[in-house]
Amino acid sequence: MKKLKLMSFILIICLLAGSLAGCSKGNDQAKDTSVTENQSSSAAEKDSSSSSGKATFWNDKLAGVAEISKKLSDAWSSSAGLTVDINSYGDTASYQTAVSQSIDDADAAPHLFTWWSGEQLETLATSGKLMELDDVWEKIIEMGVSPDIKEALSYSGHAYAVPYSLLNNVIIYNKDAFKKAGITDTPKTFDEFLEDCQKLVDAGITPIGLKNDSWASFIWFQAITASYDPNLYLGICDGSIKYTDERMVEVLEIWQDMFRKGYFAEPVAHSDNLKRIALGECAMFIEPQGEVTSLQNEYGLVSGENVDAFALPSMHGDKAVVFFEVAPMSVPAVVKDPETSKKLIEAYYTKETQTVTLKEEGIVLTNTVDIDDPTLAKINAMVADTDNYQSILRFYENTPSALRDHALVELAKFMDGQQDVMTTLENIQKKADEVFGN
Amino acid sequence: MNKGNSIKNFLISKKDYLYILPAVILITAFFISSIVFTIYLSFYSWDGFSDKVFVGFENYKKLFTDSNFQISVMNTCLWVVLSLVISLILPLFFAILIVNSTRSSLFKNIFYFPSTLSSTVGGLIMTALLSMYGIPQVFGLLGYDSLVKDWLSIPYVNTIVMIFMGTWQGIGMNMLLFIAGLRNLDRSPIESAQIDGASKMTLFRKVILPALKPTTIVVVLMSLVNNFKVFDNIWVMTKGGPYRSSETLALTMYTETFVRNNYGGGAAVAVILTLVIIIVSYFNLKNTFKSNEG
Repeated sequence: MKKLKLMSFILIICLLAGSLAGCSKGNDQAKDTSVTENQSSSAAEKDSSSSSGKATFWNDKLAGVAEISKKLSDAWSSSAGLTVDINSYGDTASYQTAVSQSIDDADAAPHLFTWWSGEQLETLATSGKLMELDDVWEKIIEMGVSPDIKEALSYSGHAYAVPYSLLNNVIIYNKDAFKKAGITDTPKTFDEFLEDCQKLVDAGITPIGLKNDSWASFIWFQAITASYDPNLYLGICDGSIKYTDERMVEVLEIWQDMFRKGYFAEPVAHSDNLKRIALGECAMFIEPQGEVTSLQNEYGLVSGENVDAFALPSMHGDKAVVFFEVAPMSVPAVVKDPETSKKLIEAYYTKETQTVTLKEEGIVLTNTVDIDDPTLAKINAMVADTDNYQSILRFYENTPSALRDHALVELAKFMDGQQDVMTTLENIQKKADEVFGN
Repeated sequence: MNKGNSIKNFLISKKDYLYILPAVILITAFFISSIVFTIYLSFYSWDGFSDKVFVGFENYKKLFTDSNFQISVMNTCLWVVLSLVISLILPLFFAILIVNSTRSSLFKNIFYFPSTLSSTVGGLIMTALLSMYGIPQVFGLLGYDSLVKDWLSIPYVNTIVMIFMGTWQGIGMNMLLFIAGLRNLDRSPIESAQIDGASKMTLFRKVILPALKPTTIVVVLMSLVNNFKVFDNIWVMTKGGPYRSSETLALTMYTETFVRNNYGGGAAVAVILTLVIIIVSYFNLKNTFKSNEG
């Protein structure tokens, strides 16, 4: 009986001790290893005791792609002369929680972390949680990063982030599907684009594939609006033009007509959408340039031969618009050694590191890397050709989040045929009046 | 000496509390404190980073005037009612068949197997099966081209599909409970009824079903609570889409908090959901204890 009591007492103490240990705060203990992946270069694993010469990079982009993460870590470490420890979170909520708990703690804060542009970045920047990076921008512009991106990452005249990735959204199409429909060249005008869609329908191919992600309903909305008039698009984003403007009515009527003519496929999961583009069941979709790499890696298409890209032509002779989305990287204001963070940032844009990001993710941010892939090179050339193309921040980050979230639901209902043009625009405008204080 | 003895006696009399102390500490630290903080947060506007701003009942007012919240409530009620009906009838039916079968272990394992999968894994399996290149393709091959689409993208149909999927995973546990209940029934009233010439249906309705009441109440309570807070498979399969048409209260709570960074709004949904579950559970339990005393 005494032995039993003693055992019970020991078990209680162990349980209590375990609970208290689990509650204790510590950078390594705070991360759930089933959620995060940690990649360090092999040099770091030998030299784990030294905290100088080591930098941590947190992100929500590289979970589930351990091989890519390792290659990036190796190249980045070699460029930086530091050991770059990449911690990737697979779950957005967990990542946001980890950042919010660590961003004010100098001991726990990473040297660099990815975030989301737009209002979410603005929230961190205006609450003083991020380091100003104006001096870093001077250096990375010299390294080849486009200065046009800086504005999207700046608030009150200061830059608070640098780009982790710059994704350019263009129409990526299956060349074989186009050939089957008798289309030998990409459309130069919007009318030609509509004619090509009709040719595809006549050839038994659905012209445009759509994905069913709940946030994706803005993709063709922004494309057609900007094709009508880029200033119209910018106006609805900043609230200077109403959604119920007669030009917007015309835009949505054009879009509705395209649905009626069968130019759009039923929305499906992104992976299925990619598959049907690869198989030629659908001819094209609007996606970031990384999907060119996906089509090649997953379905064996050949860039330039089976897959190519173009921007949606303007309806009224304006420059064609390429929508970009930028994933920012920022430095916590409380970081212990800001010089290490700056060194880490600069090393990201070296040719060595950018070669890995281009090869593995289809992402390149500087003009120092040779792009072998003809489609990716073409997309980059479009962006650089400011005489004929205009780069604009996409709707998702260019619109206040409360309005954006509301608009996405209304646009999705419109796409599904649940409501007409005026109802959709009026509903969005009601919210816009609230958000912009009209 | 007397004081020493009284302390010793006091400790001996309270030693039972030591055994439950770790659980109490854990529950207080992780559960009760979270509830208190959530209630507190529901009266504030907070994005997770900036300072909290007190807004009183504003979060609650916005919820009740939001059409998406109303859809969420409707979907939750649909989940609860449909799942309750299916997860009572089907498991009981299977339990009766299994108890009277010669291969009860085999069938028990077969029907229990889906319950061993996590909801996330089950959701992923269903997402793949119901995607355009899954089961819908089979219908396409049979000539039903209009069915070749992602079934989870069809509003309201996807909710029914997800309810059946959730039930598929939940049947096993309820079935086991009913099997245990059936096997532990007192045989005397059943035999008496059979001797009196009661038909099988009358026997089931008037003798077996009333005797199964305690088990039924447990199954109902568990199903109610689980279906009110259903999240995993909906998040994996549709994320509440298209256009928030398949959102339930648990999903609304999550998306308000972690997707829209509206912690106050999400907390308000959490408080409402908790109150609903408490009220439903209270009446259910009160009814149980009342009938047991009777």
